[in-house]
Amino acid sequence: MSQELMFYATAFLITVCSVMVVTNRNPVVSAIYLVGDLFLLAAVFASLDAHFVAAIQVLVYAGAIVVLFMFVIMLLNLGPEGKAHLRIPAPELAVLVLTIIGFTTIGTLLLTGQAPGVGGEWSPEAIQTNGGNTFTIAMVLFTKFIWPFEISSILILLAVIAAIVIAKKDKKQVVHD
Amino acid sequence: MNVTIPTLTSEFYGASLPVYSLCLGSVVAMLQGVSKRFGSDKAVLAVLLLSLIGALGGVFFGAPSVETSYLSGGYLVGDLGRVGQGLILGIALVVTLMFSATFLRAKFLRGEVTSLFLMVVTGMAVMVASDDIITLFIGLELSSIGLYALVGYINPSRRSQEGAIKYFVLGAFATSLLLFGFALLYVATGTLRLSEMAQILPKLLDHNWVRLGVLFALSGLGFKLGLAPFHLWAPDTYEAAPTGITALMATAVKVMVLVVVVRFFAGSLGAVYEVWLPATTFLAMVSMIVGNVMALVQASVKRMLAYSSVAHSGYMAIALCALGGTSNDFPVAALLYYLIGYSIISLGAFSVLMWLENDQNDNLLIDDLAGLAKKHPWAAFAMAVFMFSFAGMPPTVGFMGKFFVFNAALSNQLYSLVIIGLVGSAISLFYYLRIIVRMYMSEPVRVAVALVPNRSWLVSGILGTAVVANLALGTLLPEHLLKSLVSTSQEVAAKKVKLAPVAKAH
Repeated sequence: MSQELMFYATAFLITVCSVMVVTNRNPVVSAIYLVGDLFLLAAVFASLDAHFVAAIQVLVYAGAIVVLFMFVIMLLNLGPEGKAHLRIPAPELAVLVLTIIGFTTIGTLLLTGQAPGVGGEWSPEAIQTNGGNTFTIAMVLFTKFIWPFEISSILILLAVIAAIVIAKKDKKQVVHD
Repeated sequence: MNVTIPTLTSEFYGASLPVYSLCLGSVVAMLQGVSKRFGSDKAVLAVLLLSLIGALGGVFFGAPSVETSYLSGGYLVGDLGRVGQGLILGIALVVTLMFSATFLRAKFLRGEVTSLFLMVVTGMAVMVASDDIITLFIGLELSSIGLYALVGYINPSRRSQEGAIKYFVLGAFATSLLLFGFALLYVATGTLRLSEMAQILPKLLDHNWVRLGVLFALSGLGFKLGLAPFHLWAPDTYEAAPTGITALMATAVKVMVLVVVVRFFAGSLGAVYEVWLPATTFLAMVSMIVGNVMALVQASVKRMLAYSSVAHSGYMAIALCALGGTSNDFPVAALLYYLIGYSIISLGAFSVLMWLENDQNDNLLIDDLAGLAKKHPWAAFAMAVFMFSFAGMPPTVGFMGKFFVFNAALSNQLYSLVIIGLVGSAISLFYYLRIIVRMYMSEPVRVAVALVPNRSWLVSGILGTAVVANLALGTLLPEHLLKSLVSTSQEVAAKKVKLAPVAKAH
């Protein structure tokens, strides 16, 4: 019960933080809310006995990626945005209402069912007896999931090349029209 | 603990040679991008062709005779995977040759661009040969992210960058839908493997999670296929992208997604037929109507072909609807036949456009084709054959494809779909014939067709092959091809997956 309560508290805080990330006018404050968001997500992972993922979440996302965001914000010297009038036009309001209705429907549909499938082979106890989270993840990642693991390294290489290619200035090429 | 260590046999290396060859090629091409000495366009083209041909060799000679699953479902290759990979690699080869013979040659044959191109093809080859949701998803992303970059980068202009951004934003949204659907299916069934899902799903027929998961996955895949109402990115992106990349998106992406959808629907989700049939029927109907009606009013050829590709996705979705019936062999074979035919026609039509384009005009209007028959009679003839084929006139492959697909639908009593399909084909005649009329019966308004590139023997070879293949598949060989495709689809239906040997260690 207390675990459930903690989950709902964390979920509520995550929602609040996410809303603040997109509504705040100061990019630095937004980024700090994002850090809070990612920390709370790590807490959810930890409460699910996924300690390794929780630690990685904090190290990689909260630590490295948001710090990069901060660098970019500071390099671009982004200040707070001017205040726009908060007036939502009718079509967008309709979309918003439909989205909320849709999410509520999906949420209720999901809550009415228990997870029906067979559990995976790695229950928290099985992981404990096997030698802990880190060990188990390493074992599974480099045996059972070796193929997607290798392909995802190409995915990262692709992302790096694509980012460099798009960002670099090419003197020979002129952007026309 | 028990660790199952995968043993990498020589059989595995043979089977996965396409992927290795493409990866190696993309890394070499990446290095060529920064090398002055080895980065000339000829060297880049050589690496690109070697890598693609090596991969094609792997598809034809390396693949096992029985569908075999390696690395716990990560890599599954058999007849269906082989058809998919072969088709994708063939398309990539034609696109490469067309790029090398037309005005974007210098911009395409740069190391970083060909590296991205090869990685896109790698992603496609991985996706069609996967039995595992994770690998499938990574393959899909590999091809999508590469395409976002290629759309905007090869020939940068405001228009192409706008198209790339649109494709990226909507694509990311569709990806999240797809991932949500996969997550629900995973939670519901407890397995990531498609073949295992097939065994668990019949027990969960009316479970909400399964229903939602299937619908979300279908929306995500429908987006990648350009099925209406998820087609809004297609006209803008098709128009904005360099025409070679448009051809790749119109053909290879459809091949990749449809092979996976066949495996998904005919294999894993066959049991939850009642869930996806109404949704797929809806998508097919809307696509055929929207695609054909919107194509009527387009001025740009590429935009018109984009809407026509939406309509053709709709025709292919008819075959998908026929999948859950009593026998899956014929619908799968009909779908693959349609896909092969559609790829040939599309590649041909886009090749004609690529050949006519130049620096000043890289987005031809239908009016620009006026009088083409007088200036370049053979190109006009080829284009006319492709247009007739798109419209589904005999004796072309387009006619046989539609014939088989409608046949498959009729044997499953999908009458309303067939009626809409026939009405759609009748509408489509108007805009396809308009191009032919323009080419043959108008005087040249603008001479958009002034340039005759020096490598026109290559272009004529490609166009000639496409025309011959088109007519041959439409007249002499349809039964032959269909028969071999039926044997392919029996493999999907029977689901006789042979497991690769694994060694158990401690």
